[in-house]
This record gives sequence, C-alpha cells and structure tokens, in this order.
Amino acid sequence: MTEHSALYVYALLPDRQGAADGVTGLDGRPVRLAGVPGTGLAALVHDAAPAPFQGGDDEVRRWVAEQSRAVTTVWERVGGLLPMTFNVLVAADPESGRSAEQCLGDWIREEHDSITGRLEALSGRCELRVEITLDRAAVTGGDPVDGTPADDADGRSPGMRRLLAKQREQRERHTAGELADALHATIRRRLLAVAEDVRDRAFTRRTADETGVLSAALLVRHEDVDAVGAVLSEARAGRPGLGIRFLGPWPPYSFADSPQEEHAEPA
Amino acid sequence: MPLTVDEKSLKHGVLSLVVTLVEVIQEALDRQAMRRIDGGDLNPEEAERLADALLELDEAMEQIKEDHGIVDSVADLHRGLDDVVDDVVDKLINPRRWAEEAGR
Repeated sequence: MTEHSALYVYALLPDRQGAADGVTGLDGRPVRLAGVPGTGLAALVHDAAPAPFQGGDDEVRRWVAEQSRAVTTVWERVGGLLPMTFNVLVAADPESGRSAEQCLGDWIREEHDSITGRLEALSGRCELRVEITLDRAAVTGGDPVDGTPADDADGRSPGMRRLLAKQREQRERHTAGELADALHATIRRRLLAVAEDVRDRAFTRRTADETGVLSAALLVRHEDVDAVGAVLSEARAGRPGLGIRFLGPWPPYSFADSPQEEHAEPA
Repeated sequence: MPLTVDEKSLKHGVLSLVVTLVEVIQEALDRQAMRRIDGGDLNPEEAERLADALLELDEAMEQIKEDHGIVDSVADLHRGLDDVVDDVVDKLINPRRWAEEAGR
C-alpha cells in the first residue's frame, strides 16, 4: 500500500463543480470532489494513507473541528449533503487492482437510489441542537421543599446535618424531576410541530445543580429555524430556572445514518 | 492492532470506577439511614452515631479522590452513570424508542 492509496471521505453530495474549491480538511489538506460519472453524485474527499487518524484527545478534537468546518463550508455552498462521521476511509483493493476512487465509485453506484433518496430528504434542512435544563434552586425558590426539616438541623451532629442536607437535596431533585418530566412532554410535542425529526442526545453540559429536561437533535427546514427559536422562547417565558442552549444550524449529522452506517467499510 | 496500555492511566481509571460505585452504594446507605431515622427505628443516640459514621465514610471517600487526583473523573463517571440510567428508564417507559432503536 502506498502512502495515498486510500480516500478519507467527508461527505456524499450532488456533483457540483467548484463546490470544494479552496476548502481544506484535516491538517489543512485540500479536499476535492471525487465525482462518480453517470450518478450525478460525488464524494468530498482527500487522499490518505489506508489507516485511521489516531492521536491524543486534543489532536482528535482539532481534527473533528477541521472536518466539521470543511463539511459545513461545502454544505452551505451546495445546500444538502450526507456528512460522514470521523475516520471514514475507503482503501484500494489490491486483489482486484481497483483504486480507492474506483471502490468508492462502485459503492456509490450500488447505493445510488438510497443515497439520492436520503439527499433529497435532507435537502434544504439543517440540524439544530437543543439542550434544556432546570436549575433546581430556582425551581424550589431556594426554600426547603415541603416536609424537609431544614431548620431542625440546628443542634444536631455534623453527620446528622449532612444527612438532612442530603435528604433536602433528594427532595429538590424529585420536585425538579417531576417538573422536568412535565416540561419534557410539552416542549417535545411543540418542537415536533416545527421540526421534521427529533432524536434524543446525551447532554453535553450539565452542572450538578441542574436537572435535565430535554437534549435532542432536531431536523429542521431552514425556513423553520426561527419557529424553533420561538417555541423555545415561549417555553422559557415565565419559567425561572429553565436554561436553554440552542446550537446550530449545521449539516444534519444526526440524520444521515442511512446508508452510510450500514455499508461504509473503514480501511 | 496492538493495544498500548498506560499503567498509570489504567490505575486511575479503575480507581475512579471503584470509587464511583462506592459512592452509588453510599447514596443508597444514606437513603436507607434516613428511612430508618424517619421511621423511628433508631433512638436519637443511635441515629446520631449512624449519621456520623456515614459522614466519616464520606470524608474518607473525598480524601481518597483528592489524594489520587480523581475528583473530576469520578464526577464525570457519576454523571455518565446517571445518563445511562436515564436512558434505560426512558426506553422502558417510552415504547416509541424501541421502534427507533430497532430501526437503526
């Protein structure tokens, strides 16, 4: 295998001339469109060694950010693409003598209908990320929850004071949890009225004083992004302690899962 | 592919996991103790003794975390465990998620 016998694949997209001009990817490598004649499709790629990119956490974080920048730039130019996850490589096949570009082209031809279908489904749409949390202290107003003998702690031993504090915290958690469940159902239903798809995702940022309400990726038409913002503003109005993180828009990473996950074979 | 193991990192990882699990047990002990105290199973002296013993355990755990520099990793693991539990509970009570998982 030579040093550049594989292709690092960033995304699949309609073959538009010039869409990748001037765009760089991992470690500043220039990316290009590898068109597949007769399909109208192309892959956003750069040449690579047939081995996954490996490194420390900081280095991988930088690579992922570089990949994301490249994909986003091309996505903004083209309007729709299927982004790949980190480290998707297609290697040459020495047995058949096919180059990496031929292998990738053959696969795209085989999957042409499903790729085209998915591209159409995601065209004109973006992904938004929403994370909603409740500040427990704000929910209970900073006062002890009913039934918590907070004032009884005076004169108790340190161990008993600790246990009473734990009990108070548990009740606050319970109260916030019940409110979070009710809010989750309402907000999710309202989001589904303006988003085409909602997929739950783990919280990326949550402090020990917060209870999670909803963390999800939304597939949204570009023209409906403001409507999502309006739903979230409405949810926050009059609800002290409700924290909302609203990120995006970016390419629909969370919704491009077919057919890439089922068929792509990293080198 | 060769697996490279950093012994120090492995030790910290295992220790963080053990301490996190002890903390989970500790929380169960705290809840059980409160239940006993609230239920009147213990007289005031017994209750104070139990509460102080749990405080000592708590202080010992904090000391171990400080000594081994695993305060943050235990907090991360604990949060991760909470998320796993949330996810499992959500799947159990929300049948729509089964279909989503099966479809992937």
